[in-house]
Amino acid sequence: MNEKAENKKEDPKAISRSLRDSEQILGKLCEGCDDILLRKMRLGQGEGIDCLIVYIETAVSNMMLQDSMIGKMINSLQASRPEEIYRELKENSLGISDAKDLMTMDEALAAMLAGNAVFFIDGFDRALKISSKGYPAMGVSKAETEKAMRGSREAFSESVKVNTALVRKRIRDTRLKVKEKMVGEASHTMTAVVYMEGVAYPSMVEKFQERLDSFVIDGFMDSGVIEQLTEDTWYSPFPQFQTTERPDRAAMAVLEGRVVFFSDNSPEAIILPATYNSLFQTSDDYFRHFGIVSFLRIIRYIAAFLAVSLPGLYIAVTNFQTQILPTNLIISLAKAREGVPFPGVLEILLLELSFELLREAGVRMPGTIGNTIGIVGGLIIGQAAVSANIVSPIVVVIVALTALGSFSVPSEELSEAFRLLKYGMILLCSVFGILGLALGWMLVLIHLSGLKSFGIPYLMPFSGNDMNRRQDGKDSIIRMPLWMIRKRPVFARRDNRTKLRWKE
Amino acid sequence: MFSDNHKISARQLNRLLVLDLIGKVSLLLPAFAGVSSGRDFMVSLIGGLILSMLYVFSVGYLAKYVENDFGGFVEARLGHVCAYLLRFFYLAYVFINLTYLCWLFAAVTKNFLLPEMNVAALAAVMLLCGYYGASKGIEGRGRTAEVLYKLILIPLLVMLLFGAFSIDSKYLAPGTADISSMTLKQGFLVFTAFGGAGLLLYEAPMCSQKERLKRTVLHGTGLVAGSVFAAFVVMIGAFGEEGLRALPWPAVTLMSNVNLPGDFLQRWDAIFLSLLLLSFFVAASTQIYYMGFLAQGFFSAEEKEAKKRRGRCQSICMAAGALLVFMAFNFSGTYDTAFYLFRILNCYILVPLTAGFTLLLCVIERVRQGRKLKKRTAAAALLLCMGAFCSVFASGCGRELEDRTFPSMLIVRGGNMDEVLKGWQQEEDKYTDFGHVKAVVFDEKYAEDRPLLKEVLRYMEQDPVFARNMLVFFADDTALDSITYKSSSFGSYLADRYKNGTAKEEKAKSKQARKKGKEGEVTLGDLLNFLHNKEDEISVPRLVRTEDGYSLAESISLTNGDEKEAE
Repeated sequence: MNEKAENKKEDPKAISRSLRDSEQILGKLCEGCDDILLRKMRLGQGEGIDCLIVYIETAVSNMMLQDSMIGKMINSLQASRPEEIYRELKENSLGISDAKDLMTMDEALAAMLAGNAVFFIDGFDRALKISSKGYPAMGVSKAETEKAMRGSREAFSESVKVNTALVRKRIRDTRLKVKEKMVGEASHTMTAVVYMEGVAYPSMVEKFQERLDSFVIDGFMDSGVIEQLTEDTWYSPFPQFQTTERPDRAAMAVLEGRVVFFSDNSPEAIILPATYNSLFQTSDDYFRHFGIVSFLRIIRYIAAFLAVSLPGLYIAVTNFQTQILPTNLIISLAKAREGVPFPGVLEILLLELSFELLREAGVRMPGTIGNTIGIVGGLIIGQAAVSANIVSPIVVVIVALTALGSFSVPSEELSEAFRLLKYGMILLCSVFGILGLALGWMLVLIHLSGLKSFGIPYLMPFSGNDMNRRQDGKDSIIRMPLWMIRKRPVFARRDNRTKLRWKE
Repeated sequence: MFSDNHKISARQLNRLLVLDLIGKVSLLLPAFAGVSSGRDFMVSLIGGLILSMLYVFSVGYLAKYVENDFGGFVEARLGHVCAYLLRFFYLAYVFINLTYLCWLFAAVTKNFLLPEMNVAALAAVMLLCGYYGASKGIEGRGRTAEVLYKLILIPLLVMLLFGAFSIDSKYLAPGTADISSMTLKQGFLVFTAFGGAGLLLYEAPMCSQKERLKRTVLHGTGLVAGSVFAAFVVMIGAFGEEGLRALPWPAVTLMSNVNLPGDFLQRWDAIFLSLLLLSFFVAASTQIYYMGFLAQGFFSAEEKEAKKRRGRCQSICMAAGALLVFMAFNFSGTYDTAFYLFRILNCYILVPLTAGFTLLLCVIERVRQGRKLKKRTAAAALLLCMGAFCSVFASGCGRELEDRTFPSMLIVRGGNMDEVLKGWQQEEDKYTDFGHVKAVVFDEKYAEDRPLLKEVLRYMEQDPVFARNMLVFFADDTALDSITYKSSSFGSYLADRYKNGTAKEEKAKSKQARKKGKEGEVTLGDLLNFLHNKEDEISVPRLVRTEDGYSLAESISLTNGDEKEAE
């Protein structure tokens, strides 16, 4: 404490005992910020002591000031003698649980900007931070983008405090560590790195924190920015982090030995490391029977294959290797294409791009209009295009199946990667036929083989399954019964991989 | 946590080895069989495979003594000069091997998948893909091989299994084989196909489970050897000895023979071949990786500095190597030239030299066992070279579906195949795609004009668009005149007659009858086997015109008696 006080004396940004000085500094810094209020008051009996409270208007409501701890504190101090005020504040004898001493003006500003009220007292060399409700934010709502048949319906909100609390609610253990950090020179966005001590590799946590420290940014509005600044391979379209809006998914990831990252103003948590296999898993995969889950995972993998390959495969078998399909089918396809003015490749590209337009329009348009566009685009425009002989019916079916395949992939980011790859496959197949499809997948496989997410090979457990004595293979395309999955995956520390034990 | 230790597991090494070998060996070895008959080549094959296993055994034995770097290991035992020589021999081997692989890939692809594609473009694609794979280092290559292993091998084994159903047991009847100098020579050629196994010694330090290395390489080589042997047995059973000799790519022809249950897809050869060609990409990445790895070893220890610069040196050596291979590819001109160079340089010179070195090292190591060895660690890598340049290819896309016509029947009359096909195409305004022909009807006159019939059949055999399971008929002028070109479904009608109209028992009898030279359905494959293997007799159904339509009258018998007598 004395050392701190001594250091404080030398620090030019230390809070001055003179309230006037603090007021001047704050006044200068907050000039033009009409949403930041500086309220002076005099507390204590008799002459009283001058005090100043600084807060953001919308973050700390007037109601709060009256009824909350701040209000009660002020009322209590009002009744105290001046000499008692200092003692009470020093010793926090009022028992304000969320009060924290601030030693420097920078700390005071940061606390105020984070949505708290900061209390300055004339003659006192510290400021007091009183935690408040903070900025307006969405509360805990239902998961919109990650729907599940079974399991919790809660989703993360845009407050990092709420989000860490939602994880803490599910893992009530002090080994669950939450390390907070401000990122962004202007935004001062609160972030939190959450992991399970003893389960997660410390080196992984350190590596991620190093990456967070490796850049200085003015501000960021979503965790997606952090994703792009900390990933291993920037040019890869494949996501190297997993994102989720579900607290149960994040909690499961923490128990697996992975690290979860939250940031303020972002309802998406980032989970690292990520593997190709983990992106095909959903949270309710562990809440349902292994048979149906395995079946659905196989469907997802097939869907992923179709999402990338189907248009290219169509081009290959109709333009090059026609002998693959039965004669009746090929004649039927040829008849359907009669009169279509565009070559097959162009036809596919046209329809795929039209679908992309529809998808974008549907996402950007609000509410019912967005739904209507889907129906209008899909049914009417598609049907009209076929009737006008601009495209053949089979291509509409191909594009529809491709889209369905893309939507069936649980991870939106992975699905976006497939959307891009599909065009590459179309081009390769238009030149090389079925060999182009093989070549395209070969190139994708080579790329994925070289990809790592914080040291974990991206293709685990399809490659390197023996790293964890083939335990990861029990939860890949096929999910074994839960009683057989006794070990944590390869993300967890080697000396702490047992997660399920039967009592004798 | 997991570090970038640039090591792979024994399992990944096994997968790499299998995929490196399977494509080349399955296509190359039957080509070696072209100069000798089936049974003799079986003996050569067995001998060559045994020799290969022994060689791989010695490689595995030596690998466990290689600590940090095989170059340093050789230098410690045989001296600086020998180490450089061996490295140079292996580099040359890899270079020629890759050039040949490019030609093999291009020739097979052009022949069976993309007839209108430029071979240089195909080679460039293979080299580009190979370079990309090699650039991921040994870890990336290992993972790629591990994932592809089952994806490639399982379908090919399924293909082999179903291909076995087309075996004609008489082709596999026990017999005798002549063991001559040719047999031994062929056996040696088989062995040289596995000659690159010695390169594993350079990768041995990169294997994290060295104690399993010997078992791993033996297992991988054994799997390839066993698969090739099984494939060969199936090929001889399906095509006969002479039939096999006549085919340029019997492994691919076998794929087109396969009939998988379900009947949804008509022909599977394109799919199976694409899977097999995937292994060529893996092989290309291996060869390019070796080129980079071996080439960088020629730079002196003083120039090899940080790990990062070593990696860059290897990348540039790989790129330069790939470019040189592409130039060599173009320089060699044709597949036959490349094959010739491969045979002379690799098979007769480089493989014996490198194998000799390996065996010598084995002997030295055996002698040195128990003695205290002075270990020298060889310094690794680097330097930078020049930039790489890859050619830009351009080629046309395939024909559109609506620009094609798909006849299900082909009438052969009035000349050789060129004339027949030309006449056929002239009648059509669209491109005639013969890939869906179900039945071929020959003019009866071809039965009497044996040389013309042979010429026509050889043409059809060489062109992969004609499936071997096409039904064959003879017909007289009356019948032929009434079947017009536009009756595009007539072939389907004929095929369906046999498929649906004939009861199961009759079909089985028909097959038996056909074997004995009696009546029954006859396919193009049957006719070709009859021709190549000089079978006694075959009866080809004869189509006749009736009042109600068409019927199958008495067959026309073809015999090989006169030719056999002439021989």
